[in-house]
Amino acid sequence: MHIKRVIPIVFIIIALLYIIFSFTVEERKMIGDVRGWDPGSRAMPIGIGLIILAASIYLSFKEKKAPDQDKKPHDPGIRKLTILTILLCIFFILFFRFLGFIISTHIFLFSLIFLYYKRDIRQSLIPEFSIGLLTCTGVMITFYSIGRFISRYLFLLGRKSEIPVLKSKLATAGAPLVILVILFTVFLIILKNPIKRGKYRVPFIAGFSSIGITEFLYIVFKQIFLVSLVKGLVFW
Amino acid sequence: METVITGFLEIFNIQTVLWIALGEILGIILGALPGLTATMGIALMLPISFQLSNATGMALLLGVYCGAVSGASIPAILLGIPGNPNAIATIYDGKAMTDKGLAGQALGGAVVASFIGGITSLIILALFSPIIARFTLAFGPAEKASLALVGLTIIASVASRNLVKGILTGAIGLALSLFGTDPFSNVIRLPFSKLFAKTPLTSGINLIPALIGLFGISQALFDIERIKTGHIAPPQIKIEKIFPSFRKIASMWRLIIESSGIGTLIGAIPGTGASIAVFLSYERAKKITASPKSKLEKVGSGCLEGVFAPEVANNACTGGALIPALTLGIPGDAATAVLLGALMVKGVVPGFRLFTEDLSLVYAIFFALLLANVFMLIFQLAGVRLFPKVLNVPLAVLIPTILILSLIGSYAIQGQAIISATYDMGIALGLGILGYFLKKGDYPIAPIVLGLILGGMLEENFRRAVKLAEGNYFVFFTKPIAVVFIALAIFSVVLPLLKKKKVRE
Repeated sequence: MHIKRVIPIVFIIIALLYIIFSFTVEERKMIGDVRGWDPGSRAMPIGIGLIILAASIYLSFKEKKAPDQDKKPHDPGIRKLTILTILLCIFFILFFRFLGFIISTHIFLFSLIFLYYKRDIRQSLIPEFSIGLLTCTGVMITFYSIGRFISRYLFLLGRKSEIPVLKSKLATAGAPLVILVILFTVFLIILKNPIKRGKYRVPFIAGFSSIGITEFLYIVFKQIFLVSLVKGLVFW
Repeated sequence: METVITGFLEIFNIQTVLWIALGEILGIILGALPGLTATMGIALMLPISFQLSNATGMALLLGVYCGAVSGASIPAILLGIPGNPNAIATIYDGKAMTDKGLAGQALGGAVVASFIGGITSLIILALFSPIIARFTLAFGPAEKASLALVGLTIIASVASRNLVKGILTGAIGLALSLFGTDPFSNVIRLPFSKLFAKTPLTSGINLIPALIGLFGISQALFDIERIKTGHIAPPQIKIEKIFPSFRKIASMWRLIIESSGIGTLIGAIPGTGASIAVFLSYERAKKITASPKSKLEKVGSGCLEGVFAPEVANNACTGGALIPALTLGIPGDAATAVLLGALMVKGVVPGFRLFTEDLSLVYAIFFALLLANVFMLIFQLAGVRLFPKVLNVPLAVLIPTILILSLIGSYAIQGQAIISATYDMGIALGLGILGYFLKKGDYPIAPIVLGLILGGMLEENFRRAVKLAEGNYFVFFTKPIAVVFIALAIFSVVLPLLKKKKVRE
């Protein structure tokens, strides 16, 4: 069945459930409303539920009558990619606190970039994917550790020498960023030919892109905006 | 005068200037990438703006907004594909100019036109918004509830070809806004409330993760379909003679004035947006240049006039759309809905209170918009050869980047409270998936956002108005301003139906 016909039916079910839920909400008037003039906590949810129900019923009839003029043939490859993307997003959220920001973000990005480059997902890709992911995760943790060491060293140096600039965000976030960009560029120059030659092209691109994006996000959110990104398995 | 100086100083400091510059560059890049909209760019930058002061955060978002609206002209001119719907009308003459070997002039002309449109609308915004804001002083609960209703019905009727679809998604937005705790009685309004009673969901659906999900994640999921076709690299074109001559610009004075007017006016009507303004101004430019007295080149033949008209109009929408957003709390388009959400999350209430209690922020927004337009001119002209290279970014890297930025961005809003932050990621993903399926089914997303933003205002004022009227539900028909708003709401629903009937006949 075409999605345009499915959506109104799904909304009819949602609207019915929403109306039932609205009736179960405890009916309590506004604090201080002694005479009971306030329409109450249920009024708006019930009204909106009815609007959703009416609109979905109308659309379900209308979409039924409408010809399938814009129905495109489904591409199973794209559908697979979309489902995998959603599953990876769910996996990312569920395991974020256990794996930590660095590892979960890296796995998420590597997997998606790898799959999007390959497009045609087959079982035979598993060895290439696994080896690429493991190798790049090692490199990722090394890059992270170098950056972390530099930040801490600068901070301690700033404390000891009482040079305030070294303790500032500019130094603790900027210095690792510059050093990592240099390291990244050197790696890229050295590995340019193997990347171009073909066999390991996709894991290389996926790995380096994911390492770069993960490090960048870490520096922006953790080191500049002090967001408490979970450490997880990479506890140092 | 003191507030003007405070507003000026809040923007013209190194930190804020750098954030606007960064926002502008990001905006141009996002705008130049086909399929990525200004709204999505602003939504992705929300978590960063949240970490900054009100003025600096808004300045960053306005930089992204102006950059993205203007950057959309790059693929429209070079490839004949609009970066986003704002540049649809730029394709006709822009691509024709590229085919004639005049890509540089078209790109440069588009930038200058965007700058003129942006500045003109800013002047109108600065002149008229305080007057409209003063008008809101007369609003009581009944008027405010009717105003929220007008905002919702207008956007529902304009955002989609199908009115019922607009109403349905608007109602879904309202339903989502009601989840959490009743503001007046503290009753928990959540399904399985005993199960969710101890979760962060009791405080409702946070606006920013919802916006990121609806505009960031849904768009990324939607773009997966484009992976198979791959990206379309820009052709190797020599870009020369970028800046149009002053004489040429001066000769288009009438076209510029009319397009600025159309853009600002259309932008100020809630729910309309730049995609309508560009077509209207393009059609108007066609008529002006077709006149026998006109010395201008005929629009449609691949000339600068055909690029100027829509580009003036689309950037004029930026200031126009901010007029109802800042004064009434009703956004002009989806992008300003996100901007409004960013303000409201920080506790800033649009309307007269904003113009009296926080006037320096209003001036800061005006100065930020000015600087954003100036940066847009400088960066786009300086990078006219560089920005087209953005079109080489593969979708296989771009989509995962948008997804992770959306998820981590949602997390960062409550980054110190890990459990709440993880819930926010779930909300963003859930609404992203909902937005994806709605897009697939040709349902508009903007009404959901407006429902989410206006839901609280509608419920609180509706209940307050009925209570104050001693339980009289017809109180809305006893207040003249509320009656006007209700009439407008009915008109906005009936008009598309009448139009449809006329077309059928």
